[in-house]
Amino acid sequence: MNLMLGQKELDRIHHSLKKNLIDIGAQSSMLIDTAGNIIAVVNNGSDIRDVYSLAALAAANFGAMNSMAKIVGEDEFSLLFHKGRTENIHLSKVNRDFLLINIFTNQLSLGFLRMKVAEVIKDLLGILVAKKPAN
Amino acid sequence: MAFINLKEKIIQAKIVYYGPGRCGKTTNLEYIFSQCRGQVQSEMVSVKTDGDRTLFFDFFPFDMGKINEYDVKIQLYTVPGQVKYNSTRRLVLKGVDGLVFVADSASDRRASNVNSLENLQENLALYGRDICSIPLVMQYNKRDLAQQGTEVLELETLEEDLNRRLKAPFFEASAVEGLNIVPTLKKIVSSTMAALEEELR
Amino acid sequence: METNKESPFVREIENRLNALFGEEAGRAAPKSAEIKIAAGNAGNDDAGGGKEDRVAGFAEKGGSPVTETVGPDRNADVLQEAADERGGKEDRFEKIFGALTPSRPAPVSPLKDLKSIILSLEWEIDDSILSKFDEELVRLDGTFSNDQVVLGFLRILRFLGRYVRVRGTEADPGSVLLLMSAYDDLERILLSLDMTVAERRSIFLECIRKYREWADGIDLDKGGEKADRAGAAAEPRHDAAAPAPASDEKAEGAGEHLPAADSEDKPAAALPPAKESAAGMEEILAAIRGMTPHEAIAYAVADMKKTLREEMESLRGELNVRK
Repeated sequence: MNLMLGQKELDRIHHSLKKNLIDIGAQSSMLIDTAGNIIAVVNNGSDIRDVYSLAALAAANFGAMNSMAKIVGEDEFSLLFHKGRTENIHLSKVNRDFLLINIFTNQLSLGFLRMKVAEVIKDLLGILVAKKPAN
Repeated sequence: MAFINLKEKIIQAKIVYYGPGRCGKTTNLEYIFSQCRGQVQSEMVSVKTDGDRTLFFDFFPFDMGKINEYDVKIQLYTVPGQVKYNSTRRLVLKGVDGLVFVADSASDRRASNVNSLENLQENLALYGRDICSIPLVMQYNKRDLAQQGTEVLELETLEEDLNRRLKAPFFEASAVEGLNIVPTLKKIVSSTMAALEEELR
Repeated sequence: METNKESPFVREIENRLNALFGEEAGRAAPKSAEIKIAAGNAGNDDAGGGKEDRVAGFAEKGGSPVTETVGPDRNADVLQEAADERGGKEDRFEKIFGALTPSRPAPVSPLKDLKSIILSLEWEIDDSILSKFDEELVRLDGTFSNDQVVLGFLRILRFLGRYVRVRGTEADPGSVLLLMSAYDDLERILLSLDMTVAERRSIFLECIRKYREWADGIDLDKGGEKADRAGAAAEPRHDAAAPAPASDEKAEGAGEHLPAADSEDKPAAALPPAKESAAGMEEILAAIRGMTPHEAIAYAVADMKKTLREEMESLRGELNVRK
């Protein structure tokens, strides 16, 4: 699938990630495709991470998880959460082609983050689906 | 590292097919799977992108059955070949017992082969391992391209580029045609088992 | 790597591979070829040597095993011990612990259900869980009606729960953390066997301080974008029962702080208000019947704010009494 996103769409994506996720306390928020390519990444100015490896691994992680889902008889799992001692990663599926990854500390409640992620996904779907794929 | 359960008498070894993107690693495994389907119970698992590029790994476990009272299980993996998946490749390499380096014989892939081999050595070094101490077989794949009019590297060139120092056994192969795929597998499995046995003595 | 001299084991591996794939030297064997799989130990027809030779490479006597296994003797001891217990050798327990009274049930924490809801909230925040949260807090109000400190905690939890429920995604993220922290404190004072009254009060006052700090940092009545979209047309309040805007309500002493509620004409996010009781609900329903949706939302929010304010007033009063 080819998707062309203009500056306007990317700005809207950035804005949604920043307003709904970074501003409530997430450290980093990334929109990637299921092949591990980064569409947009916003962070709160903290340590710069190797986001490219993170994206590739996250996509692989999600891919492996969905293979597991098929083995147990599910079509897919839509959510993955890793809890660390101080930092956590939350991965959720936006649609068939995109994933949203959030890195956050224990200062942000997972339940609250999930509430905001649901809202962000609605925003993102509005942006991503509106753009027709280029052939 | 190999898993050996002396009580249950199980030996499990991991063999990884490594190489640059689109060199034929997945095709190797698919061919092997097709050859022993029906005789081996397990299925092949592929974690790949929509574009059929390996995203995490292809995995095919095959149970060789009881050999000298031991259940011998071989786990075959491929790595994603694209450069951007280096972190993922590193994960798959963890605990490897035997390696097949699949090189692409197309002449325009010469640099990719060399880079991929260097990358393999770097990733092994991160685990404190030396490629010279791991059973290795070289496979020079896509030899059939010559028949289609595509320029392929000479065997000597491939040997010089990739195997001069390592001096590993090698096969000229064509994964799409099934040429020397099984002999490659046989060689790496027997080399790996021999190395394992040697280590345990 | 090369194998100089193949061991019987490796030869056997090769035989098995040949059996699986055919004895291929170059091209693949045709798919239709018969391939027999040796089952079990078939094919292990080493002429010379005993079994020990064949398994020399993988015998326990040689090399170091890669995995540890539990030895048979330890297993037997464990099993024997389990059998002994089942066999009724329980007088040891009685000697140590005294006579058992099997009919006495294990103690259950009074916060068991609340804890379960809190754990759910940690994972997911939605209206149904917040509703259960509120109901459980009401229930616990009845259970601890004589314990002022616990009641205080419950009030704070209720307030925060309702705040999150009304605000939804516009809620301040600190509210959830504060809610969890308040619950942790409540659990600590309730489940601690030897906590003094002074310690309990101190923990409670610390919780109040945190609440105050949080409330000072946000505007409880600030409407978010969602609120604006939901109730832009309902600026004037239609709630006859709502109180006049409160002026400065800073708490005295160590009490809580309820920020001024002078912008009640800004409705909150469109989540249904918590229901105090069936009677209260009927009142609300009667009042909003016939209103436009925007007006109904504004009314409901104002009613909730009124309830919250009354609760905080009551809480402050209790604190002053306890001082």
